[in-house]
Amino acid sequence: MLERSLLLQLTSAFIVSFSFAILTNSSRKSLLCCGINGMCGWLVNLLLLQFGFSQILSVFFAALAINVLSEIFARFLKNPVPIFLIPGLIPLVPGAGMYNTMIALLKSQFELAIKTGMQTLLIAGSIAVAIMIVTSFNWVFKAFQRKS
Amino acid sequence: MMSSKQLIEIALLAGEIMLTNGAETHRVEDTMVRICTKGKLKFAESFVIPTVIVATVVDENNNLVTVSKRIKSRTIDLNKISLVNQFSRDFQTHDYTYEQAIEILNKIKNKKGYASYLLPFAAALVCCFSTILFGGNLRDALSAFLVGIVTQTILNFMNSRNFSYFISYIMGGAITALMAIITVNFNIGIHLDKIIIGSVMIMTPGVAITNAIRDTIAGDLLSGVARGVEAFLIAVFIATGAGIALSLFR
Repeated sequence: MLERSLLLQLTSAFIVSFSFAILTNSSRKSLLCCGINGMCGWLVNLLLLQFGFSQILSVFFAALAINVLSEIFARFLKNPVPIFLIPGLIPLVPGAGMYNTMIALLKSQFELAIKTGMQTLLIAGSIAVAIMIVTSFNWVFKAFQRKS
Repeated sequence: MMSSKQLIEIALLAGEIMLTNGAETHRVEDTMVRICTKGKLKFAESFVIPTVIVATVVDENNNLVTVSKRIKSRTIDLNKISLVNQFSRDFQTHDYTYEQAIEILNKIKNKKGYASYLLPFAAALVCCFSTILFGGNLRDALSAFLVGIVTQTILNFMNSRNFSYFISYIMGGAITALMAIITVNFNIGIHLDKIIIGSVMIMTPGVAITNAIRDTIAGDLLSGVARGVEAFLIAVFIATGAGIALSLFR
């Protein structure tokens, strides 16, 4: 199943990130990089899922990859990091989890709601931790550069 | 040579542009201090939270100037942040006069983004291809495309009329769910859940979440918490809106 739809999924992730960058009014130069960012993140996510990683871990590593790429793009294009980071993360946002939690709440299935809600929060949290790790390392790196 | 009042005025305008368009607070503080340190000032400090900018400078004659600015409406335009960032770098190396600097900043402030007819189209593309990512088929993607165009058009209208973000996100969620139900009833789409999941993506508070995390790491705990709560509330509002529409019309 993965092989058949890999190309379609990667193109979709590219277009999602590219169009979201238009919604946040990024400059024309950076649109392409935003798209590439989203595509690479989704590729990492898919590959790790295929290797049997849990959803939380694969989203974590995908967010890590996106953040590193954003820092690289930011250096080359001399733009702030969030311009590349925000559209790149959009395909990873756990929309399905949020929807399922809401549906469970509507049907008064509270146990299911808590279960899916916790999973959604954990996925969102793993994206947050990935951003924290890369950004703090980057700032430590910058501080060392300034001293030398 | 600029006076301290003129310097702080430039810094305040630059900070206002950045904050109203979705920059992190530590970036705004850095930029303002960087602009202020151009002159012969003894002391320059700025304090920024998502709703207020405060800046203080002391010049060589011990004149103390403090200004504050309340930020009421916020939009998202990342290009302006990048342009002001570039301006603050140029400001240190070039010798701009006061009038030149203000003119450049005003030009950035009034810069138009992408053409308004392009935004619904971009939103429709986001909806359409997110639906495919979440496992929808071609017909679901087509109906998500229609849902995206309508939702973004209405969201744009509500933004231009300065609706409170509470109302606009609840309405956004409700309209998304309602449009999805309509397209499924007209036999365009098949999976209602996948259409809604894909279409809600255009309203995700990506800027708020990312800024909340980056502010928290930078030590701006107040801004981090404020933005985190904002992002969480937006998610709850969207879910509430979609939930209301789903339970009423299905």
